[in-house]
Amino acid sequence: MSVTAEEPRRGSRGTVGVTVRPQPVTEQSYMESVFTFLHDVVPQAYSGGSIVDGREKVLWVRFDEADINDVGRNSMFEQCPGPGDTPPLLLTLGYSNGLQIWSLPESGEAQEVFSMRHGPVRTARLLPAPLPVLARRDLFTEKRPLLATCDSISSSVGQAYCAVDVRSLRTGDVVKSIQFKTPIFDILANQRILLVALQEKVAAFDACSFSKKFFITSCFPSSGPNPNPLALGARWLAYSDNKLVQRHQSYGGVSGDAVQSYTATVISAAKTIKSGLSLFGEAVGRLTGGRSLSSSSEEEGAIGGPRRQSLTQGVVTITDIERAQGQVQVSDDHEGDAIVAHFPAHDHRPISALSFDASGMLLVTADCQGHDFHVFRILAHPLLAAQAAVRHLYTLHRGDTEAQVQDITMSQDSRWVAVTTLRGTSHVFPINPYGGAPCARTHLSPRVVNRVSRFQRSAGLEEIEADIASKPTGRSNSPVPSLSPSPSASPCHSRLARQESFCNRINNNPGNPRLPPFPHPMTIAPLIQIRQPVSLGRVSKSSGPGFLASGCLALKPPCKNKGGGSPQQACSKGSSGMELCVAARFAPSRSQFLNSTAVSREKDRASVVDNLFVACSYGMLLEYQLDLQPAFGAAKISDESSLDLLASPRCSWTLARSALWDEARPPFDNNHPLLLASDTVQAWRGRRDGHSCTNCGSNESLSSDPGVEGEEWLSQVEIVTHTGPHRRLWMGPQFQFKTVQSSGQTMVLSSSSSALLSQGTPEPLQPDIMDLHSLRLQPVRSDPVTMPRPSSAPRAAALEIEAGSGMFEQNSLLLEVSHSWPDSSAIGRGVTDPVDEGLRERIADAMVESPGVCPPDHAVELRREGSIETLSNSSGSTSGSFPRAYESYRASLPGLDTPLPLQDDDG
Amino acid sequence: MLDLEIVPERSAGNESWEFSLGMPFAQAVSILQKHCHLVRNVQVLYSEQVKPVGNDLLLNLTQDGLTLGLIPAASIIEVYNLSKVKLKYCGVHFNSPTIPPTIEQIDQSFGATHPGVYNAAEQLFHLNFRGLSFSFRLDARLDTPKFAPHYAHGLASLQIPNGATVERMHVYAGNALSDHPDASKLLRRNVYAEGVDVLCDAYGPIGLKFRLLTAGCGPVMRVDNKLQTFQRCVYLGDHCQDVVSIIGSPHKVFYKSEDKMRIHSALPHKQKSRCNDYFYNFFTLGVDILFDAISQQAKKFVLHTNYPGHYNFNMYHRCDFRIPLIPRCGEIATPASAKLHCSVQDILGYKNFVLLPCLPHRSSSSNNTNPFGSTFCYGFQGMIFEVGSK
Repeated sequence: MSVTAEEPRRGSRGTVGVTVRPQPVTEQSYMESVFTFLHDVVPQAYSGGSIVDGREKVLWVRFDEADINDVGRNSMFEQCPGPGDTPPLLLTLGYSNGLQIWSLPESGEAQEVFSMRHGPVRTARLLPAPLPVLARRDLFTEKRPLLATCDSISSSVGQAYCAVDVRSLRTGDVVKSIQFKTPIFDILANQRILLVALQEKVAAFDACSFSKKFFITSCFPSSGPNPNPLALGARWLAYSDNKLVQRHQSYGGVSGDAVQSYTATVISAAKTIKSGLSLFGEAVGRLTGGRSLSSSSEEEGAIGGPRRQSLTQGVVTITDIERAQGQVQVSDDHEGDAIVAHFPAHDHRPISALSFDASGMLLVTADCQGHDFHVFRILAHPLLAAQAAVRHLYTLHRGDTEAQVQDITMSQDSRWVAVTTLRGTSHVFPINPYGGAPCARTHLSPRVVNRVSRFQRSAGLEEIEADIASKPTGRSNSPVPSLSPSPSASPCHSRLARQESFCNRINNNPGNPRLPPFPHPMTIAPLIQIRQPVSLGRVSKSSGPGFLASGCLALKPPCKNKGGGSPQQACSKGSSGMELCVAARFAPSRSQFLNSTAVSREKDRASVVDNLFVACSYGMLLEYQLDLQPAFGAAKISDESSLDLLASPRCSWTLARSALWDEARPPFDNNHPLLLASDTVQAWRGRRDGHSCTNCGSNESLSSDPGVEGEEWLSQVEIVTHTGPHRRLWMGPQFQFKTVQSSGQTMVLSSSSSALLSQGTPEPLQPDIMDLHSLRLQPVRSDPVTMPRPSSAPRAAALEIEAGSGMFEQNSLLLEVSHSWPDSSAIGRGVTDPVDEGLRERIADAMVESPGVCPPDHAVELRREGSIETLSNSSGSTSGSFPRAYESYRASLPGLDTPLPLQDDDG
Repeated sequence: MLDLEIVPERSAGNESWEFSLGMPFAQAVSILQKHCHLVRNVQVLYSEQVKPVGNDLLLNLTQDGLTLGLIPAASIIEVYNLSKVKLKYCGVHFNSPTIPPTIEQIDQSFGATHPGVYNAAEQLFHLNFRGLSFSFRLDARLDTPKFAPHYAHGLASLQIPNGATVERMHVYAGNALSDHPDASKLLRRNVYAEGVDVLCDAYGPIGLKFRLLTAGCGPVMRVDNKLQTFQRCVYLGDHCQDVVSIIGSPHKVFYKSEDKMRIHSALPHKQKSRCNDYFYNFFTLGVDILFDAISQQAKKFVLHTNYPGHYNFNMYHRCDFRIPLIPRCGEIATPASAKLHCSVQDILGYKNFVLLPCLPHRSSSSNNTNPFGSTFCYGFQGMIFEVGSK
């Protein structure tokens, strides 16, 4: 059903404005032909699709977050995988004569929820309802939702774009106006604050009262489209700082920037081995003024050196907006309470864009050159930024031409990054939130998989790798100072020394993720690049709507760097000076109802990648379907095979405002989507404050009926909460578990007594391993505690976890029962199956290493003890499962009721 | 044979590792695991009985005659068989196969100290230094009488007969074994929890209050090992970034795979959800926090008591959990909850069970199976308790 540009329908006044239905993108064959036009040749034939006259000129587009798509608090989207569960996309378009906001719900029918005509708008932001905090009262509850705008007309000072107007969509009046002396670049908002980005400054206002909260005056300007790049998470604000302060510098930060001009495939093995070295080398180089002194990365000196000279900061500071008060700055004489992390993100190149992922733990940064983008994982410390660590996970290599980044977006599950440049190209990269190579295993599943595959875990590879990683800097008394050119003059010397001393201790430190060494970042090439043709901009300037055809796009296969050559130069010429505002966002498909076959809908559901929505300043919104498959040509698809991504445009929405359309101005009715959403979100707060905390769970129904509730909690039981080690401690063979029985005797702690272990000694169970000499020497040693007093507690539950078997058994039963557990108690005690008995004897015999002459009962026991190692080795990594020989030797476990077999002393 | 440098009041170790007093159990274990080629056999001894305080946990290196006592951090190192190790003090051996640890040798290595104390019951003669004590075995037939407490006004006890060799040696903190070691050197930059309180409102748990402990957080230029304690609260519904700013980054992240317990859910959407929630594992705090994949908000806390008989033993550090229970009239009358009360009493007193507070519901059922036998879960006041079968 290819409805081409049907006349937009009008909603009733006061609710929603125009509704635009999606249009299918024209035939595939046309699309394929575009593949051959890799450059800026724009096909003449933008036929098809009607031209609506009088579209107004779009200045910028942006996807937005507000109450209406707040999945955390808007109960409409909680936990119901079915139609209507995905929050709508919110798209804001800034015009030379006003502002327009669209909501695109899952049904695919874009609704114009706001439209105003006045002067040009620099930026606008819908403000989310503030988080409920007891200490602060929201002064604007009755007014929400609020829209903050910065436009040319309302500033009374005379200079344009110097004021933020906060407008109520419910009442239509301006509830707050904040004046600044310098022009405003951007407005950001979350549930806590409203941020205003100015020239090298940031001002933050409380979300409840719009009173001043803190300000930053040390931002480093960017030459890119966003002069003051910021990223605002739920609690953290990342900004580009103008200096690096040693005292607050976090561990880690950018590393291996030397791959800068190298292709994505150049990741030499040598480099990874030297990762520990280059970590320090980088730190030295950074601080001694540019050129890296590290001997480990020659290429840095050769190529990175000259390029670096005139460039500057590239430092990122992350502050905690809850703790920030007054002026936030990073300086030596400042405690820096509010700083979460402070680190170099790009080697002496200014930051041009920053973005957090949905969880806020990943930060993607871009510098002014735009060759590479960096993905960092922030490992915060509860007290100090200097104790935090920033792991450089990925270097996303776009290409070797200069490009300005205007937009960075990440998918909800943090597995995909799309970086859009000013040329209108969106580069889509696969990443993992925990680092490591994106492969079939990590990306072909609809769910995020854990870092360690079952194979790796069962083989214990993780620990081996960790060992290797820790060795170069670890216990081998640190080769770093001797290899790196003397850093003694550098101010970071003490810091390096500190790092090193921690490194030396790392072998004793149980997995502190904030300690170096960090793995070396991995270089990733884009899987696909999606272009919006820039030259259409000319068309749009002249006649406006000429580009509105559906084929307004060009797809370019990604740079495939075979054999390490320099990547294919793409779109390097012709487009200079042509800039296009493009915003991208990952989201579930909105076009299901367009191609309404059940099959395609099913396919949408099965898709492992969210579709990519790209809006450009022609007022077009395009939905691309991303199809992921294992790389073509791979001999066989394994877990580790690389990926191929295909993007095909699914449908488009023509959202640019026509001059004929009416405005949709506030005040709105109460059933307006934005108002409804705001009500819901604010109601959520009330629920949490007041009477139940159930909102936080996946299970919403706090039923007061005990009967229902009785069954409900079961689904909440968590069985596995972490990635277990490949062998648990109790699986042995190094460790054995035993219970200590009687409390009184076990541990006597006084300086005059050395009875600490008198009962806990293991001799009775280790006759052939223990030094029997010591046994003989200590006739006065009290009884081993593992042996209950014979008469008082014959059935005492002495527990033992045996080596290699993954078994846990009641020892008191063992000598009597030789039957399958765990229902051994159900079997008659004292009954010994003769077959089992014989088998046991034979296997035990076979396992004997040092046969001794012992009474039968103890003989079995002894032999078993002697063969612990054999057994556990053979059971290998079948951790948790029972060895085949289990039955036989389980039964031969020592009966702790029986006295110590001292006869063995003679053997 | 291990060759250990003994540092009284502090540690026993060599250049690549050391057992320090105050070391948490997991750290000692990780050292042992790293050096499994040296230390082949280790016994973990623990008491099953629930005791009010100082529940002991011992690591016994059976082949090396060495024991670590942990309550729950290392508080004593005992060498109970000196013939299996070489021992050094200030770089000089005082015990090795060629140098028997006689009284003369000890005098020479460690110098003078108080007169020894005789313990008749054990027939051992103790020579104490600060943070270090030696026990000598005496030949009962020959020597015992004159070391009896009142024999010769105790003066004879000033002397230990020549040739006596050391039977056992202890390293402990302070002047007596009862002193607690200073753990600050061992914390490194990890954050540990001194205790975790569950915060409840009238309708169930709402959050956790951590009493955190860390060291080495002084100004950057100094290596400062001062111990710092501070309190932080995390609430259900907090965003990822909130939690990480409040208690630091997790040690690991675990993406929840298929949830087997989902079948019990009464809600219609039992089918696989598209997104998977994830746990932040805070191993040194003994806590896991489950985050919702969509909203990135904390929705469940899992507290692990690290009981030695549990499947997950040694994954988490032991921590002192306190859970207040709100009496609610007319609500709980089932046997399950009654039993739970007992368990919870135990928990409050002894911190030895595994607790899994999560979201509101109650009843009882058996849980997963593992080699330790099954455990039981009880839901109560918005929490679920997993209780060992014993």
